Amino acid sequence: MIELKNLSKSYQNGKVKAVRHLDLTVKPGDVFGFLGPNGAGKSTTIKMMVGLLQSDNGSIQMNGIDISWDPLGIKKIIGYVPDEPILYDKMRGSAFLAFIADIFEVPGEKREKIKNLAKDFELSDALDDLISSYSHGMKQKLSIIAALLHDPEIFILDEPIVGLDPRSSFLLKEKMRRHAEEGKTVFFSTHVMEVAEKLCDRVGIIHHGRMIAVGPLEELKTQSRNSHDSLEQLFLELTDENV
Amino acid sequence: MKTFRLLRASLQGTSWFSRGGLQELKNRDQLWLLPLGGAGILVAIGSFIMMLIRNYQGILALGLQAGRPEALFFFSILGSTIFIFLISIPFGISLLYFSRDTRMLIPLPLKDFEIVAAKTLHLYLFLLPLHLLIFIPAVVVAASNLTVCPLFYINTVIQGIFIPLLPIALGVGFIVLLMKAVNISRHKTAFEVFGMLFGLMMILGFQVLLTRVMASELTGEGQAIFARLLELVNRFIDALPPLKWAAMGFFADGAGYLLLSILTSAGFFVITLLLIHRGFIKGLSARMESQSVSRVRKGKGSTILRQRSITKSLIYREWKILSSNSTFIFEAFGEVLVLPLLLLVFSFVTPGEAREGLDSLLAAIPHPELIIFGLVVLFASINAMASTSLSREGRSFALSLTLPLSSREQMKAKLLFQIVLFFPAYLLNMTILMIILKVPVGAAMFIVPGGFGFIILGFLTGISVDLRRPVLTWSHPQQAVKQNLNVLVSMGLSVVVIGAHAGIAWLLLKAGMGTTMVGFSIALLALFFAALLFPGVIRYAEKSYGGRLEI
Repeated sequence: MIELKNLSKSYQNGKVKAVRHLDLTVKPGDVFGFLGPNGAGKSTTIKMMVGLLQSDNGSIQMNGIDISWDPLGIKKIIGYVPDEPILYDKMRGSAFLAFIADIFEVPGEKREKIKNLAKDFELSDALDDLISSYSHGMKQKLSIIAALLHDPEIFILDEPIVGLDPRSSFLLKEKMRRHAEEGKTVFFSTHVMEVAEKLCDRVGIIHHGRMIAVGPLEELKTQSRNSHDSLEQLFLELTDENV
Repeated sequence: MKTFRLLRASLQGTSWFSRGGLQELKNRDQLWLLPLGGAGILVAIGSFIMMLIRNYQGILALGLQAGRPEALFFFSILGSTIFIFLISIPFGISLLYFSRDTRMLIPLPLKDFEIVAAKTLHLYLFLLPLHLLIFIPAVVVAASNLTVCPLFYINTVIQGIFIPLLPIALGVGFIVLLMKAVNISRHKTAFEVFGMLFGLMMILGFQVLLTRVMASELTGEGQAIFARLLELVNRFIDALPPLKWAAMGFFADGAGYLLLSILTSAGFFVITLLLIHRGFIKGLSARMESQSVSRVRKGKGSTILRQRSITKSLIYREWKILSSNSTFIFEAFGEVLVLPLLLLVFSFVTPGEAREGLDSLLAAIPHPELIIFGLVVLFASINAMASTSLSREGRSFALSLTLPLSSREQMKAKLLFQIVLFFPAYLLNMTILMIILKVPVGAAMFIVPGGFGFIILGFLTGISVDLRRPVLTWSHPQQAVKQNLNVLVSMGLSVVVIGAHAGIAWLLLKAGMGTTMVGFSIALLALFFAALLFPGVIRYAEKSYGGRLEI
């Protein structure tokens, strides 16, 4: 369960308001899609949720743990896939996954699962190569495996589909869905409306740092001024600067 | 024309001295680097020129005695040629094969020749100041000691421009052959470290040679060496005709030599470019392909199954970051090896008689145990490793922030890594100095634990500075280490810490305490401060790892 309350963040001594008074609850078992135009505040919100940024105001709680009181407690239960893979280039893929598994104290007997994940994402053959030789897509896959290897309670992904081949993209969506079905929480940002439409139980649309719509997709469609067949049309209406 | 347009773009896009480079420095509030760097370079150049002038005066006298007045020009041109050839190899490899713009240039409608020529000219412009630095002092020495003709000044300008063409052509030719023979991409870091060590040995060797020659003038060896040198001068000049022609062009009857030397340099340069440009782009593409192809295909990730403790994993991470590029490796091991290297050079350059005198001088040093203690502490504590510990992580520091690790665990691993790196070096330096200064082994009882304390203190000082404001958004490893102000601040603080301990030691000695007791007191004090400061630094680190540092 994710609970964001009155969350705000600004840059350049308050001149640029990236996130303004954001309130949001994502329940266990939900796949939540976080949508918004470029620069709307999606990545800033996610970075605050995973501890990369400190909020100016408000609180972040995950499974009842407050990030300002127990940041390590939260980090132990989340798996985070950043928009740009953050990896140690001079490690081999296997050494990097072993490193992350060590940090999350994944016991030896449960590590076969990591190899299975690598097999699922067709990365097994490249595991003993240096990460610097990986393509962007391969780095993205490694980043996803690293985020999943400790079976996190909350799976947070920032633009995860970018750079993935169709097969890996399909597989990731399957993993996200299955993760939610196991009663865990999945939170991801995306620009791809079709993905959000097919995958999400609920979506939230952020614009200029403010949450302008949140709820199940069908509910949002009926609430809008015009009736929309697709999420894309709804998104365009809500984020249209001229309206 | 495309070649020159490309050259201009390359200079604008990569040099700090371009408008864009200056703007970037301004944006980062680092314009102060220019006067600071400029002052440092001026001091270095000034001392180098003074050393050269002294040597050139000796060579001129030697040449006149051998009846070869051109010897001065010949040896300055030879020196410049050797230096430029050697330096053109690493820089040429970087410019031609590992430059960031290569991926951009390949898809553009450019011919192989245009790219190769632009990059080689870039290399020429980069190395021209080095040539002038070596060549102009020789001209000054000649002008102030010989009667010169108008051709002297014409030749000065022409050779100032043309001489580097020959060694650069040789260097670039060598690079192209080397790259065809070996896949350097796969061993780039090892190759760079080897190159840096080779460069260091060259500088030390040059220094050894000069000091030896100067020292031999004072001893009986001088006469014999002098006779051999006269013979060598004659042989050398006749063995290298292109350089001889360039040197002969400075004299009244040297017009023909001048023409010959211009034709040789320019001709060789153009012919080399014509020979090496063929298939350059194709070769680059193939190289990129080989870089991205997987090499190791065995085991399929068996490493994953091996479980390690968090601390061991973090130390492994530190090692992987340190060994990820030649700059970090050289910085770490250069500092570890600096004292043994200095002693090695000292042992080479010190003549036999002087060494005997040195022994009696060393025997007269008061409190040698404390002197050794201070020296080894100085070499082990003043380093750039702790003050760049977070900076070295660069953008991957974001990963450290998202992992469920306490700042205590992060700091503990970094401290242990520092100890693993510097404590063995400390012990080695201590042993070497104890043997040289003939200090009783018992002194190790306080030097060893004291050093341990000072290494921790040095770490805490450096890491505190880096925790406050690490350089995390670097695009080149040099920015994380050499261009990182944290290094200077931390070194300054370390000097203050060591100085304060030295002051206390001096006061204790003045108060009549024995050398050994003073040593133990200082060692205990260092250990005490290390233990006292460690929890404070952990608390400070909590802020940095808790979201204060935004990346």
